[in-house]
Amino acid sequence: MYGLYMEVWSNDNGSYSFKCSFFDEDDVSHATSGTAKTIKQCYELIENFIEIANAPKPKPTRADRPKKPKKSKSERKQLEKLLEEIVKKSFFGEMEVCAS
Amino acid sequence: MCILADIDGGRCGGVLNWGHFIPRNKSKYLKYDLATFAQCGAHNMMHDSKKTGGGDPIFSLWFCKTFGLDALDAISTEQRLHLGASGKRSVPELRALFSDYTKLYDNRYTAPIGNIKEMVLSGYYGDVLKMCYTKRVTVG
Repeated sequence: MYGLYMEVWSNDNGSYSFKCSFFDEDDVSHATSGTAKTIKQCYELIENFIEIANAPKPKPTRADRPKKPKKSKSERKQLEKLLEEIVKKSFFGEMEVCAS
Repeated sequence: MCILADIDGGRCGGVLNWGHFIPRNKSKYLKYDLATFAQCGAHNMMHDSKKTGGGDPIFSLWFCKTFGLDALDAISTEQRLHLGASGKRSVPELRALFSDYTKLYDNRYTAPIGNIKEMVLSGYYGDVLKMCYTKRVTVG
């Protein structure tokens, strides 16, 4: 956690407001603000916010992981398939077969 | 129709197969050569089946009668020149082969069907036989 900014101030109606922001280890910024009846409550809310924001991130599940693009068949395989098709299709040596 | 029907029709049987004169397991290089023929299942088994051991000479007899002994020599030489794992055709070679075959296939209605020599020289029986026949024409 770094770049922590925190501010608590009193309001005219006797309540207290706060702002808090920081960056976590992954450079992700977190910010919150709120109002509470007492300063203690404000600090508790800030503490709670920091704790949650800094909690270890759950590992991505299999469903969350980006899917690897399916490997396309190699060019060799594709060419071999095409060649087999064209040779079988025509039985070139026997043109009466391909002409029929 | 099985190419061997004329000389050995009595043993013909089964559906038509993609009949390689040089069996596929004996030459990866020649697998896609056009020296492949329409052969019935029974003759294919006699020629190259692992189960039966193959080895029946009828296919070789037909090949020699049709294309000549020098053609047998040429295709056998080509097989021996490309033995082993390194004998596979490269991707650019396969690409070129496919391009050539597509042209041949597109021109099939104007192919000199019935004239073996012209068919071979036009490339319809593959490069090995074509080279062999070209040599014949050149040498005389």
